[in-house]
Amino acid sequence: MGIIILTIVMSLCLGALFLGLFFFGYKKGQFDEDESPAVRMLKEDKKVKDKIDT
Amino acid sequence: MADQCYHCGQQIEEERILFDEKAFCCQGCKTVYEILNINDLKDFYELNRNAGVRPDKKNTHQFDFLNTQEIFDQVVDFSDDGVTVVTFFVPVIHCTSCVWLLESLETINPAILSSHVNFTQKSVQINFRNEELKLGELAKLMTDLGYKPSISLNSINKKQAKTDRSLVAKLVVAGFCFGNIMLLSFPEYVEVFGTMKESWLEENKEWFRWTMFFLSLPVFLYSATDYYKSAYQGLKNGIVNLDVPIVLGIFVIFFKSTYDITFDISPGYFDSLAMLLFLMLTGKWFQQQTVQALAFDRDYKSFYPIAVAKLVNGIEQPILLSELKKGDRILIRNEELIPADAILMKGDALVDNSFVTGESRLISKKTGDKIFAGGRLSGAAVELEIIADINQSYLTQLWNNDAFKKDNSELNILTNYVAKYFTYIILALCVISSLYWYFVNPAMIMKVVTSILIIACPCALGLSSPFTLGNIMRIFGNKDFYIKNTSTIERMAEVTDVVFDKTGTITESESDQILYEGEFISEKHLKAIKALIRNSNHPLSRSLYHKIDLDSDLIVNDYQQIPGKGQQGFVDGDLILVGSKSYVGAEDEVDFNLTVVYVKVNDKILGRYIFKNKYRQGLDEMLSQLTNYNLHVLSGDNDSERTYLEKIFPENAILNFNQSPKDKLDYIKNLQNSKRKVMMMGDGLNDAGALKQSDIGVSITESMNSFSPSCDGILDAKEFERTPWFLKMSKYAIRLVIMAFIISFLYNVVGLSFAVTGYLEPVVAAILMPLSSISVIIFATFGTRILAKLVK
Repeated sequence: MGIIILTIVMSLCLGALFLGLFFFGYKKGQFDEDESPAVRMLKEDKKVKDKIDT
Repeated sequence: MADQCYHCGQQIEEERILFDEKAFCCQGCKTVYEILNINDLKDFYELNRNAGVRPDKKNTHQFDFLNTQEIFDQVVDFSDDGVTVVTFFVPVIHCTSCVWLLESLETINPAILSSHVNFTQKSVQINFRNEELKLGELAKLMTDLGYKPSISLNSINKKQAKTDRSLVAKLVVAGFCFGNIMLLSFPEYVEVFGTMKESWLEENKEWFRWTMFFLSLPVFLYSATDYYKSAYQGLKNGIVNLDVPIVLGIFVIFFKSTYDITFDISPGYFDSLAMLLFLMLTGKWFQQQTVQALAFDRDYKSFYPIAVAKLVNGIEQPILLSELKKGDRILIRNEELIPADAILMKGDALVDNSFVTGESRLISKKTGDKIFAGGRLSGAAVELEIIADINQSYLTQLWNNDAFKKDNSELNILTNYVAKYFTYIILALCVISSLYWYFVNPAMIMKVVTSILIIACPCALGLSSPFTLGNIMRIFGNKDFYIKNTSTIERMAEVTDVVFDKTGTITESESDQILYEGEFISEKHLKAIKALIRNSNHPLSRSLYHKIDLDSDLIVNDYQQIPGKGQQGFVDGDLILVGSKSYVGAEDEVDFNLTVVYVKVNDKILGRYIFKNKYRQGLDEMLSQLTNYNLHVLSGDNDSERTYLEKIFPENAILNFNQSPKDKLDYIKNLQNSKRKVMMMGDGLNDAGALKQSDIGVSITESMNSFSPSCDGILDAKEFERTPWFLKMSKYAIRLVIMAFIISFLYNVVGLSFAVTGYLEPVVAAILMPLSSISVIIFATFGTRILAKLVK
C-alpha cells in the first residue's frame, strides 16, 4: 500500500507540469482570443498547395 | 436572374455588372472579386456566401496623410530597418471570411510579410516592408478590398491596457490545489464511514495531512492576495466590505487547521479553504467578463481624425491634429470634421452640427464668421484659421466638466451593504457564545469561536451577486443590450426618471427611411439634384441630401424655393425641380399618409422619393409601458415636433427643445438634485455630457461599429422597444440576488448551529460550504434563465 505515496507524488508532479504548460501558453497570449485560431486552421499552407497542384 | 451581388450579397439596385458569369452591384465588388481571383483566393467565397463588404466609394487620396513621417510614427506600433508593424481597427470585420482574407494579404501584395487578425477586437496587425509599400497605400489596399481601417485620434493613444492576467493565474492555482486536496482528504472519510479502521491509512494519515498543508500554501499565500489587499484597503478607510469577514475566515481556517494537524486534533479544513477561494475567484472572473469588442469609454477622440491639412504658404501639408495651433490655416473639405474653433477665411460654408448640438439644420456661414469645433463641412472646400487650441474648443470643454471625473462603477453595491451587518452579527455571535461556554465549559471556547468564524465565511454571499447579475448581463447581451458591468444593473433597478434624446434616439436614422420609385436617374442628374437641394434647409431636403451618396460641387443658377411646395434651379444646363406632387405636376396615386417628394428634370418627371415615418416602430406602445417612470425629452432641435410628441408621450412628460449639450447635462443634474435616479438614452456626441452625468447612460446605435459616446450601456436600435423589459428585468434581478442571499443565510444558520454547539467537524464544514456555494450558483444560473422566460 505504501506505493500509493509514490504514485501520488508522481501524479502531483505530472499535474504541476501541466499547470506549468498552461501558464506558459497563457502568458504568451495564446488564450487571449478564441475565435480567429479556428479560422486560421482553414488556410492552406502555400507550400502544401503548390505540392498538391504540381 | 440573380438579384444579389455575388460578392457582398446586397440587392443590385443602380448598376448591374457582369463578370465571369457572376453579377455584381458595383465596380468595387467586381474589383475585389477580380483581385481574389487573380491571387487564387476564391476560397473566400467557399467559407461564407456573399461574405464580401462593399468597398467605400470615397476619394482615393483619403489616406495620403499617413505617408507623412510624423503621422506615420504616431500610427504604427513599431518600425525598424525597413519593416513596419501597424495595427488597424477595422470595424467591418464580421465573419470567418473576413479573417481569412485579411490574413491572406501577403498573397495579394508581396511587400506584406504577415497579418494577424484579432476577431474579438476587430483589429488586424500587419507586418510589411515600408520601403516597398507606403502606409497610405496599404490603407488604400484594404479599403479597396472593402476593409477600410478606421483611424481616429484615438488610434494614437495606444496605452495597450494589459489585461490583468493575475486573476486567471490565481484562479487556476486555486483550482489545481482544490482538486488535489479534496482527493487527498479521502483517507479521512474512510475512517468516518467504516467501523473497521484501515490500518495503513490510519498510520500514514500524517503524511496525507501535511501534503494537504503544502498544497494549501499556494492558495493561502498567492491566490488569496487580492482579498487581503481589498480588506486592508477597506479597513484603512474605515469601511467594512465583504472581503473583511472573508479574510478573517481564511486566516482562521488556515491557522486552526495547521494547529489541528500538528496536535492531531482533527484533519483540518484545508479542502474547504481551497474550495472557497476557487469558487470566489471564479465569481470574480465571471464578473470581469465584458464584451471586448465594444468600447464604453469613447470620447471625442474617437470621432476626430488624426491629421488635418495645414496650409503653409498656400501648399497643403498634412499635420497631426495635436500639432495644430492657434493661428494655423487649414483646409477642410466636404464631409470633413472641423477640429477646432475657427474663423472662416475663404469661401462660404454650410456646416452640419447635428452630431454636436443635435440640430439637424445646416448652418450657413460667411467669410469672417466663427465656426465651432465638431461640425461637419458640407460643400466646397474652405479655408479656416484656428482661433483656439483643440482642447480649448467649446466641444472639448464639455469633457472637462466634473461629470466626466466621477466614476460610477463601484461593483456590488448591494453585497457590500449586507457585508457590513454580516460582520458585526458574526462578531456579536462569537462574543455571546464565548460568554455562554465560559460558564459551561471554558475549554470549548477556542473550538467554538474558530468554528463560528470558519463556517460563517460568506463565500456563498459573495457569489450571489456576481453570478446572478453576470448571467443577467449575458442575457441582455443576447438581446443586443450590452452593459458595462454588473453595477449598471443594480442602478437600473433604482431608476425613477427616463430621459430621451430626440434625433436618432426616438427617431430613426435619416437615410434608411427613403425609398425611390421611378426611372433610373443617371449619376450626372443625381449630382445635379444633390447640388440643388443643398441650398434648402428643409428637413426633407437634408435627409435626401444625405441619402444621395455622391460628391457634388456643381453650381446652381437661378435657384428658387417656394415654401411648402418645392425648389428648382438650373444645373449644368438642366432645369431640375424637386418638390411636392402638385409642384411638379404629377398625376399618380399616392397614399396620403406618406411624405413624397418628386423629381423632375427638364420637364420629365423621373420618379419620386417616399419618406417613411421617422419615429421608431412601437414607440408609443413602449412609452405606454413606462407608466411607472417620469419621462422627459431633451432635444437639440427646434420644437416643430412638439404637437406630435405631446400626443404619444403621457401627460406628465416634460418636453424640452433647443437644448445645447451643456443644457442637457445641467437638466440631468437638476433632476438628481431632487433625489431622482436618472436613466438617459441618447446617441450622439451632443448627449455625451448628459449620458455621463446620468446614473445610467444608454447609447442607442444603429450599427455596432459606429461611434457611441461614453456610456454605461449600448443598445442596438432594433431592440429599443424592449427598454421596459430591460428595466423590469433589472428590478427582478435584484430580487433574485436577495433570494440568493437568503439561501446562503439559511446554510449559515444551519452551519452556525453546529458551530455554536461545538459540533463542527471538518467533514460537516466540508459538506456544508461547497453545498452552499454550489446551491447559490445553481440558483443564480437557473433562476435568471427562468426569469428571462417568464417576464413579459
